[in-house]
Amino acid sequence: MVNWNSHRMSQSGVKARPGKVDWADPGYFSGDSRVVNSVRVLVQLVRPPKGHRTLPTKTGTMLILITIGVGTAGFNTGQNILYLALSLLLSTLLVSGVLSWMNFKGCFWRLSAGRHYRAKRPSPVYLELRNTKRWLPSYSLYFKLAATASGINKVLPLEGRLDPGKETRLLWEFVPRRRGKDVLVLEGMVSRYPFGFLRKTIKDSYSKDIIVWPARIPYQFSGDKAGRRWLYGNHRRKGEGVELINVRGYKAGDPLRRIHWKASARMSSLQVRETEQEHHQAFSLWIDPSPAIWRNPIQFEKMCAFAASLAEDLFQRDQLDTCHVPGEEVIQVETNEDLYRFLDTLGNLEQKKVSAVPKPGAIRFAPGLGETVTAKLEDQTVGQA
Amino acid sequence: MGKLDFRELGAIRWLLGQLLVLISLVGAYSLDLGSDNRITTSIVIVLLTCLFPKLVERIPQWFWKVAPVFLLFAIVADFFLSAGDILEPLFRTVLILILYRALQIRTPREDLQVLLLTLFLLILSGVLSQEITFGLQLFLFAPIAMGLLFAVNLSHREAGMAELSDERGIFAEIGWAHVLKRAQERLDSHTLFAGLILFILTTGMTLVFFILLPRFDIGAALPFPRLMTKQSLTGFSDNVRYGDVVSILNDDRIAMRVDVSESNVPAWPYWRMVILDAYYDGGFRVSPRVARNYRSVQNFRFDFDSTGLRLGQDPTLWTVYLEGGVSSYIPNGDFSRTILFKNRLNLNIHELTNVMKTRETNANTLSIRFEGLDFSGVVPIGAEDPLLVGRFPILADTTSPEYLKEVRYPDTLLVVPQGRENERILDKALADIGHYPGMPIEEFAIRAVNYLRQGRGYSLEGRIPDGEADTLLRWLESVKPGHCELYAGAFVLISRYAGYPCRMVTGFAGGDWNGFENYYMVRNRNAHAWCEIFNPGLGWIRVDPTPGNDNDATTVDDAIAGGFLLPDKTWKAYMDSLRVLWFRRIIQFDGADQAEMADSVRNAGLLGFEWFKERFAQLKSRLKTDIEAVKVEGSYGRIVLDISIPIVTIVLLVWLLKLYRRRHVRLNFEAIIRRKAGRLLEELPDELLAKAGLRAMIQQMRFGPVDSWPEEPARSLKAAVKVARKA
Repeated sequence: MVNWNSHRMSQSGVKARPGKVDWADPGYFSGDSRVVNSVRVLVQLVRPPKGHRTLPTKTGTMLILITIGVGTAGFNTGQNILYLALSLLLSTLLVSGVLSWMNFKGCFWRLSAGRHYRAKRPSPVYLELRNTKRWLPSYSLYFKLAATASGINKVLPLEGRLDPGKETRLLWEFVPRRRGKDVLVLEGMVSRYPFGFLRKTIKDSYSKDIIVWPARIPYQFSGDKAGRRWLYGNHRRKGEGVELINVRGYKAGDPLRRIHWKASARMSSLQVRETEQEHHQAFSLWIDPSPAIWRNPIQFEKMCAFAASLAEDLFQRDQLDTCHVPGEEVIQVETNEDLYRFLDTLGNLEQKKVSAVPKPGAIRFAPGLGETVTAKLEDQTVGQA
Repeated sequence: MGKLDFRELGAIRWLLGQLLVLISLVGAYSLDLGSDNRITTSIVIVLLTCLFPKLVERIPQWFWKVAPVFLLFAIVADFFLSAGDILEPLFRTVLILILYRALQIRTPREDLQVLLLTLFLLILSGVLSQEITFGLQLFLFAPIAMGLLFAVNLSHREAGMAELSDERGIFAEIGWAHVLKRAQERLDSHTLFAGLILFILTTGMTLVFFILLPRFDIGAALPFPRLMTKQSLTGFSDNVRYGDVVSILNDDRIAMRVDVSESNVPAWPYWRMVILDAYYDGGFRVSPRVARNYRSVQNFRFDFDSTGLRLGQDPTLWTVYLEGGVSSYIPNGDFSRTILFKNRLNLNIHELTNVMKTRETNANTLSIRFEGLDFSGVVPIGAEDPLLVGRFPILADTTSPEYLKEVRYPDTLLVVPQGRENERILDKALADIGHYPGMPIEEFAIRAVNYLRQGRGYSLEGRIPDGEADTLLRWLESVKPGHCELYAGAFVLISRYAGYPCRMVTGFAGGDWNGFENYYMVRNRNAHAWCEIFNPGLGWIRVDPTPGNDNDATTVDDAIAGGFLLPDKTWKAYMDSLRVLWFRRIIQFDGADQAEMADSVRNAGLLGFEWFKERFAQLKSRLKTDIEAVKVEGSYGRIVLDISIPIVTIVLLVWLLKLYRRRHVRLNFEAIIRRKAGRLLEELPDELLAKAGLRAMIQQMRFGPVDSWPEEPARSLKAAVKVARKA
């Protein structure tokens, strides 16, 4: 459930257009004409575009103070040695600004976020960066990222340099703090290149809405304890059992041990056996978010995490049938996408009053003692977290 | 071959910092602060730490906790004990702080402190010494400092980033061999190119700033220290004993450089420095009254009244670069209309003798510019000089300067040693000269000089026989060879005895002519002593009785043409010319030079414009003639020939421009197409694009891979533009 809700093609003041995913650049050379581009750059040096900011660092402020001191001494005495030193300091400042600008020039970047996020689990977020300059490498770039709901701010550095014509990916091991909606934001790019006198910032407004699934938590669960509603016949699923359910032609990749030699001899072509999974037991999950049940918010959060962990594990074991949150559509879990939809629902789940009747034979969740949460099947406790 | 880790980066930073320390310490040698031993020791220590950095890591941590307290105490005590002297304790403080940081394994912040301290020391040395070595040091310092700043910047951690490990102990696991190998691996062509661009940009901009920065002078409103020394060369102080001037005649070092704007200047200029009016047995000196009688003026420009003087409008500008430690007296010609100093300074103007003096001897090179400088050999009459008219010699006991308590200037200019023996020698001298009462001064001077030179040669040794008479008179009687002081001294005494007030002058005469940059290199061996004899109608006439100094009337041009003056074109002269260039182009650069440069640039621009205008006019007139010729001859050949060259030139330029444009498009094809597509998406409404069925294609060209583009993307975009325009 990825929603690219906003981005900019360029940070040079071009209006954002929704619905597109593109590389961003500092917007220095958005035109074809060299003359127009050069004029724009000169104008931007005097009046930086919105979001472009150049401020002296502590070292830079010190340099400016020294420059003022040397300049005063120079004008006071008329000594050309001091004028020479003043010129060197001024040119260092100016070169610092120009190189800082050149460092950004030709750089394109974009945020490449993953698809799934789980609370308290690291998820990679990549910042892809290209240097399209012909000769000069780019150094010391810092990307300011944030996850607004989690309150996480991250500075992603380009350690070392990025050679001309090269591309790199910077990794952010993003660990969401809690489930729910979050927004990954690329706030801007910072450079202190080359001497750390100036801190040049280019503001970005690239953001991406994400849904953070509940965290995985340890829990106890045993379906056997309950009424053992065996659901034979409900699904005859292919598996590693011995009960033959079908014979079909051999496909590349089928294990040789599954070849049905007799049938192969009869059909004069390789045939393989398909067997039913043994002891197949499928569960349905019923999530009731009523505030009447979940008076303690901690228990509600734990319930979400418990349900998500259980759903995943059941799906892994092929024992998940349906998931239902009242007020939402019933999810028949057959594929990964079905499970993800359910986890997204859990990620967004809020306490609300519902009046639906639980599906018979479904696992329900209820508050336990203290801050525990129990899973119940036909009024019998089958699990706890 | 991954990026440098924090230890390797730290080691490189440390090495760069040590290099900066070494450069600034070497630069500090140019300061004459008597700290050469401290500097040498510091350099040795820093070199040792460079070679064996592990030694630094062995210094216990408690030392660094205790040391600042002691250092603070030592620094405060040093300033307190120096009682008002700022420069020397300041220099020692900076030296101590630099050494303190140089002996540490530094964090990036401490590296910046080292940079700051070394820069301060470098500028301090440069400002006080003004030596060309400062330029060289700055040239080395700047790229290393940039490298250090760059490395510090690479070590920088933004808020939210993981901190680097502790900087201490970087040499525990790695050595120089490892660090240098890793640095070599990382120094590829891209890094070197980036470094080169950085250096060229910085150097270029420094020069541009240096040239363009407006030269104000707010008149030293803030106190600024000058480096002074108590030492000066013998012969150029208030007391000159026999042999003082001669003692430096074997010294081949340069005492001053004299830069001239024209070359038709005297080949043998006499630079007056000290006027010695009082005689006593053992030497000449500045009498107490002359020494005390001065007006002290603080300025950088000094104008002197030339009313009544027969001075032409000589446009020659003379710039003298007087080396440090030579003298507190300012070298001057016989008269100068204006004297300009680079900086405002306190000058004592001794109007009785027409000489100038700074309070203390400059320890560094002093630049002095003269306008209207006169070397005619006649010094204008001073305010009290008319009192000398009609006076007789004063015989006094000159065996000691005690007599000066009673005899005061201008009477001192008439004093000769009393005593029978002395008078006998002087009487004999006057008789030999053929002096008679009312003898014209010029005639007397010529005869006296001839008398002194007769039968004598020039010798630096100047042996004086024993006897009862005055030292100088004993030499006069002995007819032994002597040097300038003896000749000048003897002439002074004879002149005074004859009734002509006379005084001794010490300074420099002549010099070597630098064949590379056309200036005088006046060496210590050019130190000289001569006389000035008073002529009430003219002034003080220069007389140089020393043999071999009669060529003052020749100009440099004539002297070179006549072979009397050989321009020095040795490599030493070349090296020296670099120094003068440094002074000319850097130290002396001022508002006038800026205006001159601006004029040159403007003229160059106008020249280019004029060139085109002239060519165009020529072409126009030729075409007119050609058209006339066509009417007469009926042939277009000349017209074709005349217009073919400009047309071919224009076509060639347009072709080159197109080639360049094509190359640019070829190299940036993808970016150009994407940008164009982006602009179309921005400019055209979505509905229109959808209606024309172009949106998908343009979006593909904006965002999609190149493989998915249409066959001819540029043409497709043009077509899209056409469709949009029609709509």
